[in-house]
Amino acid sequence: MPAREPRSATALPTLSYYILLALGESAAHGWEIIRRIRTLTDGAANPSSGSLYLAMTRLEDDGLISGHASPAGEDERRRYYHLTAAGRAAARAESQRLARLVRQARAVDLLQEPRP
Amino acid sequence: MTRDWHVRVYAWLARVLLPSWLHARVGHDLVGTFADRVRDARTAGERRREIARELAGLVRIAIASRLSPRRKPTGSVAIAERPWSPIEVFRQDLKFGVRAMRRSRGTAGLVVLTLALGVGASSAMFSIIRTVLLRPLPFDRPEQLVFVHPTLEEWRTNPSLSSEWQLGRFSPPELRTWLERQKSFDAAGGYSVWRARVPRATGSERIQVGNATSGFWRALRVRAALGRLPLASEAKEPVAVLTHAFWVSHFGSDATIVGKTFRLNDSPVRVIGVLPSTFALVDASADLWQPYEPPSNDKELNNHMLLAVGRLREGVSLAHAEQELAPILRRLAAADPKHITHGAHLVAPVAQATAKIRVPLLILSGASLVLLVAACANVALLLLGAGAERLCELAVRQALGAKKSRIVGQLLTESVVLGVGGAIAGMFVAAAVTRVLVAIMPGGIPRLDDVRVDLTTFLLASLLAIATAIVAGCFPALSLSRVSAGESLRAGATTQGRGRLQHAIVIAELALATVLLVGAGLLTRTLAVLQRVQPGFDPTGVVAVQLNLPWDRFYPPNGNTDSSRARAAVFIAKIADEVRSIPGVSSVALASDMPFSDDRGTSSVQPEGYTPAKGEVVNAARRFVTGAYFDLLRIRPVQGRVVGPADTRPGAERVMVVTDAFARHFWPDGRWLDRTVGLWGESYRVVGVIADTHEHDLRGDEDRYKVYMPTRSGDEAADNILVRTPMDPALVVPVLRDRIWRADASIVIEDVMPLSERLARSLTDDRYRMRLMVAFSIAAGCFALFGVYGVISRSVVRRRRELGLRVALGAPRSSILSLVLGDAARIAVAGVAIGTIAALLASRVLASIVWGVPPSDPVSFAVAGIALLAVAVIAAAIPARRATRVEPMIVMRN
Repeated sequence: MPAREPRSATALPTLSYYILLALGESAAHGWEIIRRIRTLTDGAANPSSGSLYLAMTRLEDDGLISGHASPAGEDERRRYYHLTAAGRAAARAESQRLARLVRQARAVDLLQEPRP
Repeated sequence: MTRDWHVRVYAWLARVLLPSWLHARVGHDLVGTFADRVRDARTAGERRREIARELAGLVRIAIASRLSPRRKPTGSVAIAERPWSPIEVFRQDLKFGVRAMRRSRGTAGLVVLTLALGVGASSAMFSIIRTVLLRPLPFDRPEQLVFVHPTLEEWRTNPSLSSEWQLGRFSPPELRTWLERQKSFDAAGGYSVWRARVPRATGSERIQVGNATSGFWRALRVRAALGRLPLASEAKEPVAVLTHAFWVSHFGSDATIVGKTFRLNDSPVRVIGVLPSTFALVDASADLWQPYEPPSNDKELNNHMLLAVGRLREGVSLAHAEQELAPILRRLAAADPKHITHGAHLVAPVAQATAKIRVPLLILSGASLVLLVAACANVALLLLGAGAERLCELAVRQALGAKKSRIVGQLLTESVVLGVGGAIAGMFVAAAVTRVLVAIMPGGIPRLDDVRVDLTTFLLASLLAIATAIVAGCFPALSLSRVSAGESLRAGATTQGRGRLQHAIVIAELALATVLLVGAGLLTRTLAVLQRVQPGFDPTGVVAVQLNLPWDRFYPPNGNTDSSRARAAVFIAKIADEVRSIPGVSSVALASDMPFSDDRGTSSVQPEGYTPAKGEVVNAARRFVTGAYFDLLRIRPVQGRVVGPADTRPGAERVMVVTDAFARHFWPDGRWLDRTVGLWGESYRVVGVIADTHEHDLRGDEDRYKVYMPTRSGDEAADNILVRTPMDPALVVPVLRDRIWRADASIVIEDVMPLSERLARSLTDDRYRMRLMVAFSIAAGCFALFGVYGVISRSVVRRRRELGLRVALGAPRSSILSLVLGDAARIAVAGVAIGTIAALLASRVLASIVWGVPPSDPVSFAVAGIALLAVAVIAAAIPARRATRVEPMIVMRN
């Protein structure tokens, strides 16, 4: 389970950020998103379908992602999700925030510190 | 998509658990993703883990989506701060709690263990109580069922009568008249239980056969599970209804049993039905039931053999039924001057069957309740101690801005986790303890086989345990409000207030342990006293055999009774000869009643020159014995002589030996010699007095007056064999069985065992209670040990500076040691003192099961007190040693 990030005014919940990242390359459905998140975090994050979809309803409500019908040949009732422009912006903002933190960490020589 | 069962379960759960808006929106995708995930799992283990993860996730979002209000789509980027939902807070608390517990594994383990023991033991005891004492009988409207006992008022108060006389029975004509005339009962019937035998591969087996009138079945509203119940018109037919257990054990649950016949006492009996498995009359454990109706030509009013049960009419009181019965029986009695039944005595069924065991069971469950309270006290102590250690941590959290509600929530979560953990472990303990208690409980307790862990009881005990954990666990939060964060953080902050509370709890624990220990001591002493009681005869080296002769063979219906008796006597003599020829048997005696068996032959006697008080029934336990009896049991006369072989010869004078109690009561002038006693129309001359014997109960027999007469062919058959052997009696037992069956295979041999073992068996109840009480008190003693250890070691830690200062100022280590041990001793003395007072009050309750020892027995009290003082000192020894090792420099520097 990923450690929960402290929430600043600009922080996205970790799982939401992962979802945005996972959808960055292309649209996907639930199981595909989970698999991408697993690869993304080297298996450290492995959300349940429930957690995933609850987070995605919120992201969709916030207009960060959007669902659409599945491509032909698949189960047609199943929805695929893609990033909206707002989602892309939010992911970018969060990534920049994290990058800033990483830069700071490197500056004070905290990046090498081994983490279990 | 293959819809496997787990997908179906998940889909169903999603539909049931999720709020409808969420399910409508993502339900289908959710299930699809779940199915994909499970399908892609590579190993069975991974699959299981994934399913578990998914189910947990589903439950979590089901709660989370309901707790956090449904948010309206904003359509804008909203990465604003979101307050934590309660579910997230709970999760966080849980995670932190588990981490904290892992850090102090010892405390958590002890808390869970203590709770498990307390909850387990008390739920087990109370489950037994509920099943045995409180659960209604397995009949329709059982509260309407009563047993009916016609009994003389004088009998109910006469100390010389055994309890069986106080719960009187009907004679056949009485029952018939009463059944015809009574109006208080919707239905009523009589019954009795007799011994019978069925053949086995070798020898015969004794079974119990119930005879019941048709009203009995109507009153109980029983229906046959198979076939039907007997009709009133079948009273003389050889038919039987089997109990469920007998049908299973002897007929292999044969579904086609109805209509088949089997041999009962050498004659064929046809099975007409099988009773339901729930059928169980509290006191009559018959294997099968046969129809019976009191014959109209039977006029013998004094043959009291029938028990009766009835279903009271709606709105009729017990008193009314009693009033109705009395005149019916009195009118009958008026017609027969020898008749002695008046009045009635009605008892509700459960109360009757459990009266004997009620008090001991209640005492034991009281003890288990004390144990539960002690367990809770121990948990409180452990958590208070742990809380004190965490005060600093909590203060830091508060200083860093944690809200108090958050901290309380955190403590609450941890306490609940511990309490629930204890309760769950307690469930296992309860199941195990119940099984053990039932297995080792002495026989004769109705419905013991039905005892299961009672859910209500368990939940109540668990609730108490969890509540204790919560109260004690949240205690540190109280001091947070009183003490400012800065104060708590300052090193050496005192926690005087809680120290006092902890002392009080330890004292309470010691007091509870004292009560249990005193109880255990009293019961142990009781058993020891009972084991030393001289029964008045010498049981060592004696083997006792109870025969159940095929009486039906000697007493054919309408046969001549005298010649039947003679035939039976010859038959028994033949067996006795067979037994006498066994190598290693030095003497053989026969007796009509076996010591420490169910045999309780009593008769009305007429001692010469004694005028009974009005209404007094002069009864004595009668024993017909052969000449070798007294010699074999090494019973010596205190006056006169005992019966010898010469007295059993045909034509010899009828003589009698009486017990001391008999002689003193009926001839207080001491002139008993050559007086006569009438019994069964014969007159016996008293030739000797023996000391009182205990033949049923080492605490003293209910029938104190006993008379012994030489058996002769015309008397009641003496069908119990006593064998004395210089060898180990256990070696003789198998040979005996063989020889008797060689003489006749239809004899039922019951309980061949050394007589000393019979005596030991009579103490089963006492031994059981003693063991249980000892187990309880050991557990309570352990709690006290932990408690004292915890409190003293914490006080040593708290006083480290002071102790260091003392050492620095030159106090010898021995004075530090005595300082700490003195603390422990003070606590222990207070606890034991309070416990002693409580035990003095409680011992009055115990008085009914304590015997031969005064309830305020100084030995039991002293041992309990000393043991607990020792426990306290031992518990304090380790922290005390630690205190002497305090290095002043290190302590001062910190």
